Amino acid sequence: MDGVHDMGGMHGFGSVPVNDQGRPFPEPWEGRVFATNLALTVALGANLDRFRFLAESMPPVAYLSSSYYERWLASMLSAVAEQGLLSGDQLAAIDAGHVPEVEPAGAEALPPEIVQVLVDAPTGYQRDLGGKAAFQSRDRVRARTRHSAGHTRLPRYVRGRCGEIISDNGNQHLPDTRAETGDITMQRLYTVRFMATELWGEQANPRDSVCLDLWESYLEPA
Amino acid sequence: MAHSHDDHHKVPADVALRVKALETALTRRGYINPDTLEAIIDTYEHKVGPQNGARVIARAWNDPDFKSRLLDNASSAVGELGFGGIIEGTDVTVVENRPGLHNMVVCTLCSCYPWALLGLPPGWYKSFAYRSRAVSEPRSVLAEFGVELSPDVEVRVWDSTAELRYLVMPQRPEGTEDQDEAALAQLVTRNGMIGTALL
Repeated sequence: MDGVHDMGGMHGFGSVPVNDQGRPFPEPWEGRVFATNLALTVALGANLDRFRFLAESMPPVAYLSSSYYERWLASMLSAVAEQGLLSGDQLAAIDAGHVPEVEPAGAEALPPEIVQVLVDAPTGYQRDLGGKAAFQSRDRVRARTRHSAGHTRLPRYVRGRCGEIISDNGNQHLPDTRAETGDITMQRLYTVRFMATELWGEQANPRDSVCLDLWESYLEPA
Repeated sequence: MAHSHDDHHKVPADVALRVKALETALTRRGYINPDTLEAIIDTYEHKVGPQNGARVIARAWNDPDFKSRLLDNASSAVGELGFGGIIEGTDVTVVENRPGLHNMVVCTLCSCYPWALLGLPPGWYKSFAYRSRAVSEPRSVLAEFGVELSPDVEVRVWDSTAELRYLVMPQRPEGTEDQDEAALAQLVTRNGMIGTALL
């Protein structure tokens, strides 16, 4: 969706707060939001794309005036409601800061000893390069111009712009469909390099470039 | 004179209070275990951080075979040091700075970041200013970090739009030829591995 989250190239946000190095969770509640979300999504089957879409679906004013973990909280509350983990009345009580009456759901929470396994296990991840790729390295491509109201990882600032394929990253699930339906659609993912002058005009340094990871359906031959 | 109650929006409670209420309700439902939350918080506050990425970079500087495996398939190579996991950053790509090329990493759409190697992102990485400007004016962003690059150096910005996570391999500082891996790892900073600092 063409929301305020799609920030690449926007003006007006001022200088970068370079001294905001911060601990991971300056406020204790931020750690609780992070951990609750992680534990829930692992236990219930994570749909990170849906999670991102729910954050993007916040009203723009709310998105811009919320901190990072406030946006996580908003997204998590939407997911809890969608999945029916808590009722509307229960969520309204939480919104007012009260603990609602709840019945045990017979669910199985993620046990603490799993955490280390999830974080440590070297996965030896290998890309899936099976099937046919429409594009090869060094092919010229154009990012499609489309304005989907749903989730997409095709930022506005590259749409309609031409770049060059620099790598084929194999088949990866398309976030657009997973965010919408939960279904896994595998599709080729490429890294595409765009010259900065193509994206930003003559003010850019002609040597500079921006690389993005874009799915095959985001691209057309150029 | 008092307004009628109907005129008032309900004001949400303080965020810490809402989070506590949510956590309690989900715990009583059986969906989460508070001990697990403690374990997750402890992990990301104390165990996973830039020291992981620094070990990877130091190893690569000192071991050309490892460096070549790392640049070829970082996901597999970082497993040699026991890093990886399935939480975030399973598919990692390391991009190498060299004379004439400077890499930097951003996520314009949210704040994707190689958690497994760097821990959770600092505030500036999540800021709207960095997300909006890193792709369109990387040199002025770098200048705010005190990094001035010659116009002859290419700045290549990696916008993390998919599940690939990028880590920058900074150039090895001069005069460190005799240093061992542990000493080298001390030189590698978080900002260096995002590309907003030179070493």
